[in-house]
Amino acid sequence: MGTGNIAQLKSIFLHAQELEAHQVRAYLDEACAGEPELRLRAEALLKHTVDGETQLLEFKASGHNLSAGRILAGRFRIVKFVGKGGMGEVYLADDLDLGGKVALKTVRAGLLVGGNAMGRFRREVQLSRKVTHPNICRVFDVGHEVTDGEEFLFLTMEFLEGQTLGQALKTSGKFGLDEAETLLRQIASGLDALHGQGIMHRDLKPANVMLVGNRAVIMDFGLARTFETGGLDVELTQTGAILGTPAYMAPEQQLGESATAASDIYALGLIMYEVFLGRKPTLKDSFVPGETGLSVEWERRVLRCLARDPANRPPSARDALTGVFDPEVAEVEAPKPPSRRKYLAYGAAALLALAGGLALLKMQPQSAGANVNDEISRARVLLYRYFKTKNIDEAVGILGKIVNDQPNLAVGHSALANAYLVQYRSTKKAPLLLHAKEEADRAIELDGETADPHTTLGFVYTEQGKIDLAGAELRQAMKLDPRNAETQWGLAQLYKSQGRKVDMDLAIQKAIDLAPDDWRYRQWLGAEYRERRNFDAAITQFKIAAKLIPESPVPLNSLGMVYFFQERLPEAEKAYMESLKIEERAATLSNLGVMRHRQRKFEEASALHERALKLGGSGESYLWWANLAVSQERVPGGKLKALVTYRKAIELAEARAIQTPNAPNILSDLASYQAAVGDKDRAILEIRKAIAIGPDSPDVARRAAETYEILHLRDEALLWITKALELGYSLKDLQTNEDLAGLRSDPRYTKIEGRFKEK
Amino acid sequence: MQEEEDITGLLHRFQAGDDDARNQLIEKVYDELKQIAGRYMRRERGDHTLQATALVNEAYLKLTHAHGGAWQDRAHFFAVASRIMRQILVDHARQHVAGKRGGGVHLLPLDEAVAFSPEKSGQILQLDDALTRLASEDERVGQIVELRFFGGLSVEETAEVLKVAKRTVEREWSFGRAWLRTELGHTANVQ
Repeated sequence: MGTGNIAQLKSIFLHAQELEAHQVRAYLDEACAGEPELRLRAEALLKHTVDGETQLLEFKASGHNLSAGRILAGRFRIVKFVGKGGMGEVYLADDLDLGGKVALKTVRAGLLVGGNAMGRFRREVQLSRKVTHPNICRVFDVGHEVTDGEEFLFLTMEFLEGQTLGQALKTSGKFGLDEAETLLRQIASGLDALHGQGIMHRDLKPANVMLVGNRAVIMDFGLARTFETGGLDVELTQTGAILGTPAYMAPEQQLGESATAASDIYALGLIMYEVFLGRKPTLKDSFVPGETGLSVEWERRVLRCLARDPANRPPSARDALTGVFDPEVAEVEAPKPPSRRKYLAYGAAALLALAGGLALLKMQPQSAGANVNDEISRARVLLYRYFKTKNIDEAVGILGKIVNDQPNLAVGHSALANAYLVQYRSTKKAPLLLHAKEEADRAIELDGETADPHTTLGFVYTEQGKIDLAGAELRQAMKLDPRNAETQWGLAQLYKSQGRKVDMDLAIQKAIDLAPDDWRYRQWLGAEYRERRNFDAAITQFKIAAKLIPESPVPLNSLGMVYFFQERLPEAEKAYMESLKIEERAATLSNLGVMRHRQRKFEEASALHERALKLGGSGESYLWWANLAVSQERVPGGKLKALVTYRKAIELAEARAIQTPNAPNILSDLASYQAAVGDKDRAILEIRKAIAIGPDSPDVARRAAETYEILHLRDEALLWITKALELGYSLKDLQTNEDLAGLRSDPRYTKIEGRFKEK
Repeated sequence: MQEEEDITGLLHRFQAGDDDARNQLIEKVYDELKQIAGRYMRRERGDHTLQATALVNEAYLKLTHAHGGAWQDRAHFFAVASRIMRQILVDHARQHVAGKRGGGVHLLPLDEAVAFSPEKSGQILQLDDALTRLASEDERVGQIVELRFFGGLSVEETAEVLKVAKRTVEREWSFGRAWLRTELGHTANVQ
């Protein structure tokens, strides 16, 4: 991608930043007239200030206690601290310019993560200022202040004295019918006024409704989204303890979709419920009509607001209170409080832990015979313990038979899809992915209401690099079952493939929260930490995984690897041994072999690598053979054996290089093996290719040095070792490099080394 | 302490425009920073980008034994350190991308059965590339991003170091950030 004309882009960008949102388009039309490419780039830039997700800079998150008398922005003098809210602190302040009192809210800088929050915040405030309505809190200004080098925003608004509806409900319980109606009518009127200006509240709840005498005033509208609080609304109590309250969020908001007026109507429905009944809907009484104690009419109104599908909710807040609805309307659906599935999960934790996730309960089909259910459960357990190839094959067999016998059983296809996916993960054979997709498609055709096949498709598409499709499937899965841990895992992998680390961390954490006993999530997270070289955190996760599934050798092997990376060899040894005691697996043997090699016990290392290869595992990978060859080579009299092994490694690496062209690491590996067997021309050819593809890779340069050194081309080797060091290859790693032992004794190398040591 | 005086003295000379002082400063900071960075990267959290500030801060405290010295001194120190920090992060990312041990032996992760992850090369490297391109066309924006991102300087500190208005820093920073985001291609938006 070219860089375009940065100066021009910058000028357009900065100009547009100064404009009101609705003027931007017209400005771009003019500024980019006749230059569609420029226009696209400018739009992309501006978009990235609005909803960019990348976190390039994290603001320091800490509260700031403003003391009385402090003057902000030369205009607002702090009178006193009023309270703490989700966003920051609230103060009473004097407006020194215009006189009078204002409420001044600080915005915790930590909430402004994403960098774009500032702009979004400003735009929200601009919009909010336009609303004047007795049931809406007036918003005045936004300010920016720096304290001790730390930035924060503040907002001034109408100062309201009274208590919030939330507090009133807490202290006095439900409202009388008349009182409730008056109150709700005011809230509805305010909400309609907001919507009339195109503003969504997005966080309507009793704590955001202030009662000033008889007047109900809606506060904090429009701003919630700026801070992306997520599914749980965190409230700070007076003692400072954090309470998680079920969100007043509509189902679509919980799924991460953007809020609409209908989402606010949903929140209004919840407030109606609470005002009438004095409590929040809980999992016990999922709005069973006739059991709420409300009149039929009001009951229907409440339920109508709480329709799962936004399209079925009343079109406006006023309609929500006055509408008369046909009792036969079947579309009204009782809401599913977010905590319900969690409740189930805890109740049945033992069963679920065995069966591998929440999915099972949901998947039990009424129509299928008990036998089939048992079989499906058995297959699922086998898959959950998929560290044995045999288990996976058996599960695929069981499910294949079920699908064959009952071709119209959705749950069978869904389970089989998952089985193919697991099989793919263990073997990496591409056709299995296609099988998984076919079965998932079939399952969805038969029953579009379960999340699992969508989640499976999400995994499949992620693996195929079809990011958009993967996102769509996972969103659909979330919509169908917001609390499915597997879906969160799918999201985590999707985010990972996009490099969205923060989102990835959140998603996998959610999966773990939802299914704390599922070892696979811990294992995955551990591997992720290890990849980031966050070894201590990786160890923690692998240890938990090992505890959760003591019959598996997998987490223990991973643990051993991390210890090995940390040079904690005795602990690595112990973990590998424990893993091998459970089951002798090829990869563990090979890893132990690598460790023996490091300990210079080459014979033992060779034996381990050989055994690993005999056990098969992933016999397709050239690394297994290369590891063996490298060790064999160093056993006295082992050169000939090593030569044969190298040839095998070369054969497999060549195949890989054809499958994955332009991978400099494969090519440079290949080159060094060819050098080892004395195939000089080919080695030079491959290493040149590798260098052409990855000219700035210190590893390729190091490989080049090795290759030339093995070929006895010392001058070239010295050249490339210098290059590798220049590119940042570590001197320490060079010092333990076996292939370069000869080169290191060359006085010219000593000179180079000296130069880099000085640095 | 001798060192404390050295660093502060150098900082003052450097602020007065002494290039020689700058070079000496870099030498002093480099080793310290590299050492601290290495320790962090081996053991601590994986998200290096967010730690740059903490690292530089640690180096500063260690080299100057300063607690609450003039903030301008601190800002200039951080400005010098940000370039070094960038280099360290990039070096580390390069090694990390390939992630192999010397001597041609490879570990085989048995857990790959669980962790199937499309390979992801270092974002740091992409960022570094993009930043280099940006700086080649607009040096000041490049400097601002480097100072803020790799050195963790605040808007105010950046303004002090570059001797420009705070407002300028804010504007150019917002542009630089947006430009980098488009370059790094974080356009997909799933949720």
